[in-house]
Amino acid sequence: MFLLVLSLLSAAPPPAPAPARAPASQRVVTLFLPGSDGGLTTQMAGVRREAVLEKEIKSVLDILSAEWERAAFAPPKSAKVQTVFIDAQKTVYLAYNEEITARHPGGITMEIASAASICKTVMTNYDVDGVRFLQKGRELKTLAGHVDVGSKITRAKCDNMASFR
Amino acid sequence: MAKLLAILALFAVAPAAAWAGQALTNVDAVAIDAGHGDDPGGRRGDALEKGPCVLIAVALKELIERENGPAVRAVLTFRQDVATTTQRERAFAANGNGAKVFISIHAYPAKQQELGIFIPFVADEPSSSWKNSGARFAPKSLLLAEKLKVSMESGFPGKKYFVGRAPLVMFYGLEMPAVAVEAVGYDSQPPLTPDSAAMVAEAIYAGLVEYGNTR
Repeated sequence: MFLLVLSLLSAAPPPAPAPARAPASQRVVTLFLPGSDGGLTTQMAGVRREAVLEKEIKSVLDILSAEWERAAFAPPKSAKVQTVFIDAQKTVYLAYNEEITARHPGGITMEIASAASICKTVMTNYDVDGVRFLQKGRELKTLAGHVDVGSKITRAKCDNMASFR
Repeated sequence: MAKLLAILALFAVAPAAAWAGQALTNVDAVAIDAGHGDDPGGRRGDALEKGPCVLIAVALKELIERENGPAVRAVLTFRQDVATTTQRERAFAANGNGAKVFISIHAYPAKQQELGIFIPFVADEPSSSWKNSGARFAPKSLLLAEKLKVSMESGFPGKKYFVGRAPLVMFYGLEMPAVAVEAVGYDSQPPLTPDSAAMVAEAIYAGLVEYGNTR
């Protein structure tokens, strides 16, 4: 009996390897695009679900940038987020290239719409409490000289910018 | 009757008649801010957002002084000969001169159809924050914005204005009612001339007169 048990144990298959990650599935997100009146319009988009949240948010913002080209009031589509980081307080840091400031079309209305387009897209689709903009490793004060993005954009501030009129 | 309607129609597109010769009441000092004194703001080709803002601000200062003499001080919050005037310096200029209102002149990309007149909104900042110093003037800021909406739409038929609230940096530190006006397309063709800047200044002044009369 003892030998039988021993033989069964020895014949037991080795522990199964960790299951391979399921194929990345699509996730539907809501994009907020600047409308012709300076308000925001929504559009659905599919994005690959990523194990690393920062990577997924970057993908969403890449799609958003591409869609800006068709929006009435928006930064150029060459304005790209380069790095995304989320801290322990659930604040997401978005490091943008220089295009978002250097080639922003300007105007108060358009600047509000730009900032709102980004923060509303991130905060609607992800459980984050704040958004901050970075450029060249520093926190941005404004995108085009008007709207305060130098302090954390909370949900309340983002909601105000999304419905400022 | 037709003659009366014709006269009324004339007044509808000639706002200058509404304020001509009128001095400001209840306002003895006006702070005039030109957007982007210290940064270029928007750019399209060679057209910079700050260019027409300075022209209109100077035209408004001259108009206020011409209509009111020494009874009303018109203070520019920026130095035209210095490239950098920080927000704190602008607020200091407005507060230090005892301005009763703050008007910040801004430009917009010409393709923008609806234009904004903004008043302060500061979310999530403690009431003691310097950013929030103008919060207690919110009702008067709104009144001024509404008067300017009427005067700008009268002055420029076809243009549609809205009043909005936003966390704009030019409002921080101010101790008075404040508005920011999207007054002119910075990349409009032909570019803004001194004469057309004076027309914009007249429309703003008309709103300022109405604000003073209402208080």
